[in-house]
Amino acid sequence: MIPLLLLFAIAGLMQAARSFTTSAGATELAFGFLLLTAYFTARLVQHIGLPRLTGYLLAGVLAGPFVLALVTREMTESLRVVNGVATCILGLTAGAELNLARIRPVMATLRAVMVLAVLGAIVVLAVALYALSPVLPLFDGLASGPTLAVCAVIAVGMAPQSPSVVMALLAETRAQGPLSEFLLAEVVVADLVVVVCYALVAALAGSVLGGELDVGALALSVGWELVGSIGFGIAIGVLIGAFVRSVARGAALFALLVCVVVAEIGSRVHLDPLIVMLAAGIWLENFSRADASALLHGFESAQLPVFLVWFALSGTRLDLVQLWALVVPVLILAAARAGWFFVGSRIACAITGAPRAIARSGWIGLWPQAGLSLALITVLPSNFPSFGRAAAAMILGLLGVNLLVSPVVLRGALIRSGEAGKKPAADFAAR
Amino acid sequence: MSAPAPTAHSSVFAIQVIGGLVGLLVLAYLGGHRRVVRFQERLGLGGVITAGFPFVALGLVASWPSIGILGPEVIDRLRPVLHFGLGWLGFVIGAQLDIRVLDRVPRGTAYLLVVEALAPFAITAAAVGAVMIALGLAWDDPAVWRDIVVLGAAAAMTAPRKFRGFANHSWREGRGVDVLFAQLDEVVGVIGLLFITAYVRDDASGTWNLPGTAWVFVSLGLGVAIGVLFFAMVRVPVSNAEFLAVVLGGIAFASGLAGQLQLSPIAVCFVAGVVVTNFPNDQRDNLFRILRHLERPVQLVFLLIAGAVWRPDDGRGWLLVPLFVAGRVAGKWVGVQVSRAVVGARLPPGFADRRQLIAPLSGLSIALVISVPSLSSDAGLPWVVTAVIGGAIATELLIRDRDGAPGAPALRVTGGRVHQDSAAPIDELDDPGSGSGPVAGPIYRDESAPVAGPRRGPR
Repeated sequence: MIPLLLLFAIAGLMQAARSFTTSAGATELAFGFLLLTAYFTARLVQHIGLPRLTGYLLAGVLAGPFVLALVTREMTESLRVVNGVATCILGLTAGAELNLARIRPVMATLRAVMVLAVLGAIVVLAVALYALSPVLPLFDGLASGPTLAVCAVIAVGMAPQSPSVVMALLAETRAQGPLSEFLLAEVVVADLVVVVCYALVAALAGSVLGGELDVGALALSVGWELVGSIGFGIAIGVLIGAFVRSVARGAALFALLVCVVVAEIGSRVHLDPLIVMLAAGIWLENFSRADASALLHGFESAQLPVFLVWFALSGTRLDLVQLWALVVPVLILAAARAGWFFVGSRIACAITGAPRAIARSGWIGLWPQAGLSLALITVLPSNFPSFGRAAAAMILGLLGVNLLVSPVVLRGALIRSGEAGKKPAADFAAR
Repeated sequence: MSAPAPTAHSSVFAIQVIGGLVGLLVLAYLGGHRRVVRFQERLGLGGVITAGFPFVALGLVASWPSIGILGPEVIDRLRPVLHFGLGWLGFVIGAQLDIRVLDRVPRGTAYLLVVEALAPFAITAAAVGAVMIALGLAWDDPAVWRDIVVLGAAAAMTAPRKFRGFANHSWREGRGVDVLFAQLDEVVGVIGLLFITAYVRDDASGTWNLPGTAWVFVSLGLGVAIGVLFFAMVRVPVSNAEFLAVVLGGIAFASGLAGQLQLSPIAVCFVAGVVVTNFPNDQRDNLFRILRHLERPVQLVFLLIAGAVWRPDDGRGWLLVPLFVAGRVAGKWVGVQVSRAVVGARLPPGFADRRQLIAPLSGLSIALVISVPSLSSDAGLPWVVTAVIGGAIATELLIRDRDGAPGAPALRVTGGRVHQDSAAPIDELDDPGSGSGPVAGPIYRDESAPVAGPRRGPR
């Protein structure tokens, strides 16, 4: 009851302040509002057995520009820096969770899942889109060749996973064990696979659609983004490692500064901040001589505000009206995507003799969709002006369904696996 | 994912930015390196600016056009962070104000406080303002008057705590009458801000047409409303991470509301802070723990931005530095003399006359200077920034010479004459409720003392 009353009070104050002026800006207002409403909404949905993550997203959806409009589109735009820093922190923490030595025993399963489940899902989604193309207006007037090309591009846009969702649920359930490690490794590698796929498919589609896209430039751009980001990330990892070894005190602040700088300049120099910080985290955990556990522990324990804002912001981008208009094809595609992840992963696990927990629930980690899909939604209209906007709307619809449904399923899987609650609580102030 | 391919121009830009990034990180690395910290400690540098100078340098380097990381556009984008920092600072000052302390200070303290704040304000503002106008600024330009007022206000505020640098220990709190006065100085500054933002405002972009006095009440009402909301919110979290989220969100929300209504985030959050900690509240310790956790990062952001808007190559700003320092010392001396003559007899021995003439500049002064809007377009503001940064450095070095060198006695005023006091006693206000300790306001709480955990354990 108290969270509900507080939500009304916060929304009332927000409404009053917004009645004074409708001018853009008010970044810190939107930040504070989303942080508080996401937190208290999560407290409410927890009572009905839903993951807190669903509460964060619901808060964003309800407060966002498409429902109550307490947070406007300009406000969400102005929070881009916050979003970027949050992405970097999530990337660094996710990378540092990836211990390659512990993943090595399931490396064969991981490879098979990438080929059969992730690449397979792209093919299945493309086929499903092709089958639906007669009823989708965006394919009107296209011959079968270009239709296939467009289907392939949209299918890649629908395939990405979400390390952020998996990390948020691992943190929420405090899950630790082989399944948790596999899930995180799976989604991180799958995102990298999708980035490469997007470069190849976009280049191919550009040539099929004729002259809309500079294939060489795109290949160069994505190559730089991927290889450059990894290289830059390793350099950042070396630097943070050196800081931890030589200075130690203030390392969390230093790493936060690095995140701010990477978020601020990453997009300007066409590097992907998420990949940069993932690479830095992987370096720190696996190759650096520095013991960065204290630094990462500090980051982990303070990650709740990051999750709150990041997911609430993702929620503000979900247009329920648009989702409703596309509900039938989106639900078919969502079923095809999740269904193929299940089938593909089961086959991959059976071939490689994966442990039982991974064979049973490993596919669920592939289901959530967030960061990379949102990035693709942003670049599609500029890469493919003829269909990019309509494709982005469809991907956003699918993302909305997956964001709202998959956390519930993933949380259930983590609890059923028996790994939930095994990680010690990390509270920065307790130290 | 970013679509456009790198062009020749963007490649050059990329190299510039990466070079700048490396420079920044090396500076941060050096700023926190053990040897640098040891060197800093050997020099006795503990003031906000001197100990945090690597961050000022960081901001300065990052703002060079050839690097362009902290250009005017980025500074503008960082303005919300600045607003949050100001709100946080106001909240901390408010939360540290234990109203019960005011019952224990002797009669006449308010007079002492006002005179000792007003004299440095007036003398510094008059001296520096005259030089600024002599250097070519238009006397009828309202921005110049605002800059003069800001500089005077910055001169009036002294620091209650010592700062220990980037990767070193956190703030170290002082004690005694000077520290009490420094805290109350800040409170007076905040109240001044409340009135300035209520009466000097541009209502063109707003829809509420209210007289200035009504805006004072809006500020107070908003602060109280947020305070009550905060008070209710901090009772919900069940872990420290949740507590951090609520405190961060609450202060950002309060600063944002103040900013949206064109009120001072410092003043509104100050009122909220007073309400939260002066109501009976079993979450006070947790609240202070979180506030302390954020204290250094916020201060470092202020220093970074101060460095970014600093133009040390403009010699005219440096001309103001000696005036600023001398104005503060002279103002303090005048204030001490006047208050000693008027209320000295009514105060306890040593309360009115054994005072430090050279006091470090408050972090709030730096925040005040860089919170002025249109940092890039105001001609006089770069001089003001130089005066405050240069003045802070000069003051902190003078204090180091006074306190840091072995055997160096403190410069004090006793009996109307300035002299050196080798005993350098620290005056303390005894708290009748807690034995011989200093004033029981939260600011005096010992950081190393164990604090209670959250009301309920984390799930």
